[in-house]
Order: sequence, then C-alpha cells, then structure tokens
Amino acid sequence: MSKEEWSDRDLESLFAGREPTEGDLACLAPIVEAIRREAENPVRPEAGAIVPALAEAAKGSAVGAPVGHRGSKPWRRRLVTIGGVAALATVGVGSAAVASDGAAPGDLLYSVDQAFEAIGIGDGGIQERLDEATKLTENGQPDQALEHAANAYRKEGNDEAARALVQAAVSVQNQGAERSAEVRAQVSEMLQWMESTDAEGRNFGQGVSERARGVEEAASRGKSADAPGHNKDDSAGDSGDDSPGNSGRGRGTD
Amino acid sequence: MAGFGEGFESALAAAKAGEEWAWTALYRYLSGPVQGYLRLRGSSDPEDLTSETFLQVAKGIRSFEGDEPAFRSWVFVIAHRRLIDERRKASRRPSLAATPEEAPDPDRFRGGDVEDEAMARLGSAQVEATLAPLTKDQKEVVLLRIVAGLSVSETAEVVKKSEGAVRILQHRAVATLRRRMEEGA
Repeated sequence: MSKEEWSDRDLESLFAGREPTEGDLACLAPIVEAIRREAENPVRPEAGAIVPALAEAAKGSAVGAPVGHRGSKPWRRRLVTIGGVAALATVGVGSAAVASDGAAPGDLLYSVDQAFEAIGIGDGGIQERLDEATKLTENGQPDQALEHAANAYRKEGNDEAARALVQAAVSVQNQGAERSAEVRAQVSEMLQWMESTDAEGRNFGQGVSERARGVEEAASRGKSADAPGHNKDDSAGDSGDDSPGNSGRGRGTD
Repeated sequence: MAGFGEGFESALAAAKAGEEWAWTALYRYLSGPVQGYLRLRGSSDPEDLTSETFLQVAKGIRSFEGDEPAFRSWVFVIAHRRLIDERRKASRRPSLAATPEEAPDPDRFRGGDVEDEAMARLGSAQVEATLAPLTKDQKEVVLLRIVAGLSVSETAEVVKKSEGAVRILQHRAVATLRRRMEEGA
C-alpha cells in the first residue's frame, strides 16, 4: 500500500486503540490514546444529582401535569393527560432503529410533540425544526418547509434568516412551484446547509439569504415533473482551502 | 470506547420503566464520552449540555428500539444537535457565551492536587494543539470515531453525511496528523 493509503481496517484499529497493521500509523497511537484520555474525565455533577430527574423524565411523570400555567390551549391539556407519551411511537430515522419525536407539522403526533415542548420537556431546538422542515420538503411541501423554518428562526430572534425564508416561501407559493423538482432540491440543500454549517451571526444570515434567492429563482423558472427528495451529501464538505476556524462555507459552495 | 457489556438490554428495559439503577448505569456509561466530545468540540458549557442531552434521551427512551450501538449513536446525535444549537444561540448573544473555537477551561473538569491539575492542563492543551490543524468536519469525525466509539455508518448518521464522505474526512484527518508528527520529529 502506497504512502497515505490506509485500509478501513487499519483506521478502525487505530481509532479503537488497537495496533494497526500499517506501520506508519503506529506513530499516531499515542495521539489517539491522549484524545481518549482527555475526553474520559470524571463528569460533574455526579450521577446522583441528575439520575432521579432522568428516571422521572423516562417515566413520563409530567404526563397529567397541569399545563395551564403556560397558557396552552385546552386541546393540549387533553393530549397530555390522555397519554401523549405513549402516543410518541417510534419513527425510524435513517437505517438505525433510532427513537425520535420525529413528527412533522401535519402529522398526528406533531401536536403531542409540541405539547411536551410547551411544558418544558425537550426544548426541541432549531435542529429539530430543521428536521421537520426536511420531512415537509420530502413530502412535497417545500413552501411549508420554508415557513416552518422561518418560524423557528423568528422565535430564536434571527429575523434576517426568517425574512429570507418567508420571502422564498411566498415566491414558491405565488409561482405554484411546490411540485418543482428544482425547487425541492434547492430547499433541501438549503436546509442541509443550515443544519450543518458553522457560520454564525451575519455570515449565517447572508448564507440563508443567498440560498433563499436561489429557491426564488428556481420557483420563477416554473414547475417541472416530480422528483425524489434530497439525497445524503456525498461530498466530504472538506475543500482544500477549508482551513481551521474558517466559517461561512457550506457544502459544495466553494 | 468500552461497550456497556452484558446486561444492556435489561438496563434499557429498566430505564424505560424509570428505574434509577438503570439510569445510573447508562449515565456512567456515556456521560464521560459525551461530555468529552462536547468539550473537545468547543462547547462553552459541556457539563450543562451533557445534562440536556441526557434529559432529551430520557424523554425519548420509551420509544427507543435498538441495540447498544444504535443507542450510543442516538445519544451522540442528540449531543451533536445540542452543540449546534448552543453555537447558534451564542452567536446572537456574544456577551454571554464563549465562541465555539475558544478553548475550554480544562480546570473545570479536573480535581486533585496542584501537580495533577498542572499535568492535566498540559494534557488538555496538547490535545487541543494536536487537533488544531484539522478542519471542523475532520475534527468532528475523528472525535466521534475515537471518543464516542462510533462506526463509520453511525458517524455518518450523526453528522448527516454519506459513509463515503466520512471515510474521506477520517482519511484526510489521519494524513494531516501524521504529517504533523513527521514535521515535529
């Protein structure tokens, strides 16, 4: 094997702390061990402080708890008291059997998910909203995906991103371009970028605006035949000039 | 990373039922690697984020179905998302939070005497310096492979890239680290 060509097995061995077959990887074993040691430090607070809270959360002890203090609507109280936790059935994500409260707006379970967040269990967060928006896009609702993402960023106080997303949603709706394969692809790419980018502040807002304009342009080019949803990113997202600490770059946008 | 060992299935079932012994076992199993991952990824409050991660895990545990590797992967998906959310919030409140690239204070996580603490700071600084040449994506993949003990496919699930992209990233990271070793020698 030529220089810097290592087998998957050797890299597996290296990362697992075993002796790799390739001799020139052996020099990295101390580094791997140092990283592992650095990471595995005693955790504070001690398990005793948090375990009771985890056990209670797992039992769903908040089910039946009054939610009126949050000013939520009566239908949410009914959902929670009737056994909303049990209704959070498994929704598969990807190839692994992974649990998620992965309902998207419009799904039967989405209101239950929101009910939990309304009483402070699982704050959801932007990442969950982006996941939901991705599902909307895959379901052929890119305009609603854009609106959903816009609402999330508006709640977070990111008005620039929210405005750009709303504008793109309106453009898609006005052009009747919900079924456009190009529009869906553009929206998917934008959502992926928003989920994975490390751009922040102004850079992030500008990145959203640029991509939203791309969606608007795609919408103005009109409708086309249905196409499948987005594919996983095959690019390493790791260009030669992506130097450490460099931000504001999305996947495949160099 | 060492596995949970025998008894994972029974611990999972007990955790779903809200048994404290099971949550103690799961917490001890993964809280260290989770917090280590978050710290080395530049979280401004890895301890708090670790707690948030586990609370989210507890919330969803009753609908989780899978084996130990799937559980570990799921926990790190949540931790990863929490980290990204923390960064987004920090970018809008710069006066309240550290920047993601700011090196975390290693003293937060150390105990023991002065000499031990000095050695620990040295170790933490060395690891940070070692990882510094890597890009964000490379660092992310390497830490998930080493600290979290995730496979290529599990890592791909967390970072939302293809397995091929993850292999490229880990390969480039290893090549970079190796070249730095040669230059340093």
